Parts: sequence; structure tokens; C-alpha cells
Amino acid sequence: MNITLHIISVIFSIGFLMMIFELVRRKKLKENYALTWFFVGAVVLFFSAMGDSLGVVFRALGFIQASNAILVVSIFLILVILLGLSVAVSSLSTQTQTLTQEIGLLKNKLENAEKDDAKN
Amino acid sequence: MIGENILVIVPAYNEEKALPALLRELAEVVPPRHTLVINDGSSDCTSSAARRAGVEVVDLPLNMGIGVAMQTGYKFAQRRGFQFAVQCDADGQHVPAQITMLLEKMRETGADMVIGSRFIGDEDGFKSSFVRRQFIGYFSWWIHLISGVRVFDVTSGFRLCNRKAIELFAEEYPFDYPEPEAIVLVHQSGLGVAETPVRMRERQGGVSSIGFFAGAYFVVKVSIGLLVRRLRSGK
Repeated sequence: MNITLHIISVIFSIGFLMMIFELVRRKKLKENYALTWFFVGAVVLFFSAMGDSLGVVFRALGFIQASNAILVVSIFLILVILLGLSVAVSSLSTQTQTLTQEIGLLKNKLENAEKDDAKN
Repeated sequence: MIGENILVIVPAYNEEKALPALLRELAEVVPPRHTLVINDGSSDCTSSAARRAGVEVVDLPLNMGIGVAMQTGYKFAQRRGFQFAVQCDADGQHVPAQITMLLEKMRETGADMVIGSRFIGDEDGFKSSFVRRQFIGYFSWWIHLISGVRVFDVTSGFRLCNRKAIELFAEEYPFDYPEPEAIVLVHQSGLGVAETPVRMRERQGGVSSIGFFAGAYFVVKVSIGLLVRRLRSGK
């Protein structure tokens, strides 16, 4: 792997990890979601830092360039995270549905109680 | 007047035009406190149109779609202790006077859910467009294939449920075009489904919620949804 590419990918991986850490610290990102991202960041950093020293392994797997291997691994991890997000959104949407129904039913109950009060 | 402890659930999204006439018709069949309009986050005066008629109104703060609105009605029925619940479209397609026919069929068959059908018996009246009938036929075949139940008018929203079905739907109800899936849900929960001929009218106002792209989504989503239900239950 080209030395410039090596350095850039290491810097970006570290920056990425720091960004996740900072988001968690400022409570903008919940720990449960942060964990998967930390894992991704760590894996990418590991591959970036190792670079060509993992060349034998990569070549055995059929990759010509170490950077290609990093790319492929990253994309798979991102797919896993995206799927996880869809699961999270599905559960949020179910929660919103239930809450909306409860608000509607409670408003109806309140209005009926107010009507009864007005009569008495 | 129907003497039973029955709730008529009318989900309504921007139906201010057709709603008053329907509610007048319903008032001849059930007392006003036995009619529940679920206003599904309408942007027009659906809510005040319903309130003027003196019926029960639940305003959902957001537009959540027919499935969520309908389930709100079943939760209401479940909590207020209603023994029966009827679904009735707000656009005037369903004829309130025919609720008694659904009740009769339920008494006769002991089914837990009775569907008012356009496609059985010799009732005339509005039968939907040619294209839609083909899709309805396809869903009917698909439901029969995967669950063994034979229902002809699978998309009919004119339905009567007894207490058991009310409790089931309060717990779980399909979202987005729920009618065909609800049939499979009822069947897989060990409850009985029956179908009885009714006469329907063309919608009295508003526009259909299903256009071309929504139609394509409808077909794919419901086909898969039905299949998933089958796989989930393992029956």
C-alpha cells in the first residue's frame, strides 16, 4: 500500500473513533448504537494500521491490494449497521403508533369527563 | 335500532364531505354514543363534522394510516366493554342499515368475524372497477393458498367482530392496507371467519387512498405480509 494512503487511512480512522467518542460524551449518541460504530472504527483502524503487513492474509483471500480488503470489510460492517438502524426505526415507529393511539383515547376520555362536569 | 352492545368504528381521514350523511344514517341504526369516529390526523374539518353529530370522537394527533386508526377503535371497544364492533368506511360506501345482516350471519354461523361481501350472493350495487376486482381475486386466491380460508371480498372494510376478535385486534392489527392480513390473523388465532352478501355504494365524496404506485406497493406489501404471517405462525 502506498505510504500516503496508509497515513491518510490511519488518520481518518483515528478521527472517526474520536468523533464517536465525542458524540457519546456529549450525549448525542446513545451507547448502544455507539458500540457497533466503535467496533467498525476499531476494525477499520486495525486494517489501516497494519496495511501491507497483512498482505499475505489478504492475498490468500484473493485481494490484490490491502486497501481493497479494507473497503470490502467496511462495506459489510456498514450494511450490518444499516440493518440495525432499520430495526431501531421499526421499533420506534411501533412505539409512536402506540403513543398516538393512547393520546387520542386519553383526549376522548378527558373531553367526556369535562362534558360530565359541565352538566353537574 | 340495534339492541346489542355494539360499537360502530368509522376511521376518517379528510372526510368532512361524506361524513355527515353517513352519521345521519348511522343514527337510525345505533345510538350516537355507539358510533366512534377516529379522525386520523385530518387537515380538514372531519373532527368538527363528527362532533356536531354528537358521536364519540378520537382525534389522533398525527396521520398514522388506516391500520393504526382502526386499531384505536378496537382498543376503545375493548376498554369500554363493547361485545361487538363494526368497521364502517367514512366515505359512504357501506350501508349502515346492513349491519343487521352482519349480525344475523354471526348468529347463524357462530363466526368471530363476519365480512360484508360484494362478490357473493345476488346483491347488485357497486362492485369496484375491473382492474381492482382482478387484484381482489388474486388476494383471495393467495389467502386461500397460504391459510386455507376462502373469502371472496378480502378487501371489504365492512366487518363485524365479536368480543374475541375485538380483543385480538386491540392486541395486534396489521398496518397499511390491513384488511386482507386481518383475515389471516383472525384465522391463525383460531377464530372463525364468515362472509355474507351486502350491497355497497360508490364513494360519496373524497378520493380513493390507492393510486397507481400505492397500488403496486399494496400488492407487494400485502402478498409478503400474508406470507410472513403464515411463516410466523408455523401453522
